[in-house]
Amino acid sequence: MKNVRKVEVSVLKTDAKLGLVFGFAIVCKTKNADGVFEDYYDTGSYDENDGKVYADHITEQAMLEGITEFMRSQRVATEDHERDEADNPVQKGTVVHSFPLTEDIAKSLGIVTDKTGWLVAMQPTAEVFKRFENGELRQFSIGGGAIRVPEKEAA
Amino acid sequence: MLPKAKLTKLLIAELAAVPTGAQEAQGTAILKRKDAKPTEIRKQSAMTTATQGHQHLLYCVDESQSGSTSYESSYVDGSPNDCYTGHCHPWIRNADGTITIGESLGHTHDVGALSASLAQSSTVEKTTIAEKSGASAREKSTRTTVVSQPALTSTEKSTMDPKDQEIATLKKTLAAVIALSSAEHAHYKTLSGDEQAAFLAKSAADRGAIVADIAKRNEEADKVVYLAKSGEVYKAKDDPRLVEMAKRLDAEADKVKKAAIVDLRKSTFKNAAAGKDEVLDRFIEKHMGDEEEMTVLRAMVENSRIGKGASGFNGGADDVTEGDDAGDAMEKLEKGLVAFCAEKKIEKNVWTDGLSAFVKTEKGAALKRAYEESRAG
Repeated sequence: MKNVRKVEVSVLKTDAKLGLVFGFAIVCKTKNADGVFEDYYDTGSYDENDGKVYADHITEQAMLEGITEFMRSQRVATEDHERDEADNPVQKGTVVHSFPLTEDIAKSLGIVTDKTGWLVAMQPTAEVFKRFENGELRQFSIGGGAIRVPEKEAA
Repeated sequence: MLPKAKLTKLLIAELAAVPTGAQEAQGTAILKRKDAKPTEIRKQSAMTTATQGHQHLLYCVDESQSGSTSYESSYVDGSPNDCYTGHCHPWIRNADGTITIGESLGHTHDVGALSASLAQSSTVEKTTIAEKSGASAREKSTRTTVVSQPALTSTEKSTMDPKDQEIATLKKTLAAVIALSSAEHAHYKTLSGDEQAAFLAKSAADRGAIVADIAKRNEEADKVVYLAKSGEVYKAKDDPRLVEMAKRLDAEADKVKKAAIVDLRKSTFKNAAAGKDEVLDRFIEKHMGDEEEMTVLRAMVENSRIGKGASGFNGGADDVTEGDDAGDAMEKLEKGLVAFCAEKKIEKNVWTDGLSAFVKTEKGAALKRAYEESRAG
């Protein structure tokens, strides 16, 4: 089994005029050296339930369903998952554009890409946008939940 | 290589801008939030028993081998003012599965109530927790439910996350414990987990009545019922059999002592040997072991009763009452002599040097004269 190719890509682009930040919010698959899509696993995170660190893969189906609900009801953008006293997210912007770039969709639309996932455009507050511009903020992070299924259990 | 997992049933609440994320491919990451509803949480916590007005939480006691309790404030006994000091305790699971809580700030706790989360999960085995306090281990006990927290209101229950409910309940418990008076708190510390919860649930008036009743019963129990000759104090709360035993021992000792006195009188004072002589016995009892005083006393008795045989030192009177016989005159003389010697700090040769000096005083001369007159009569 080939190793997952690690691609160092941060936020792809900013638009100062509109105050938008573009990028992948989720990566589901990446192409390997042979140009074949493989499941992408992140660098790992701690599971409080069993105390293990797992490298997680978000399936394209889970991504599609999750972002559909998010764009229908939430669209909340925050800075570093900041919370108020009631533990509610402190909104510092909005996710204004969203596209589920799955392998099938890319192929159907003739889009050539070396990774699939969730493409977004965030419109943060001016203050947060400046931090993107000066490099303090470089990536997106999703706040929410999921059911983790260890690979051996899935098999 | 890390174990792999697939994330399904994705529920996105927000998209955050961050410096770095877990997904290197594009700098995004899934934050596995603790309160994520799709993720089943099967942790079990425990709460310690109360000591010095506070309790701690022990996290993940169902799977961890050691850890540290929550950080709480504690009232430090003996401080000149109210002194609240924060601290936590180390804890460790012993080889037999029990948990020992370490000491901090001069105290420790037992394991008290366990959270209900594990009990509600059908897929996780019940956890056996036993308690240890200091060097004495108690029997193991299986607990699967929370037992010692005041209940939340139905509104609170319906609107709060289970974890938040547990925290809110614990906060209520702590607030209620801190609000107890010193007497109520002293009583609270003597109760078990269930009893503590029931006590906290009572109104202030009911709690006050309980501690007042306890104070009254304690007062009754502390009443002295017998003072033994050894100085030991026996109270109503003591085992009645012990009190009876002490009385019996004292009676036996009295009996032995009286017999010894009689024997001493018979062997020492020929003229007082045949009859009852309570005054002489009192002297003997008082001066037993002091050979010098006994010698003087013996001389006085011999001088006063030669030839009178069994009439005894007090002139033969069986009932010695103060002020109405010769023995009484002797006793008054002795009391005056003792007081005189105490005043003059004469500690030795009381009946020789002391008496010689005493009879030179007006009071001493009068007492001696009264004694001699009573003897002549």
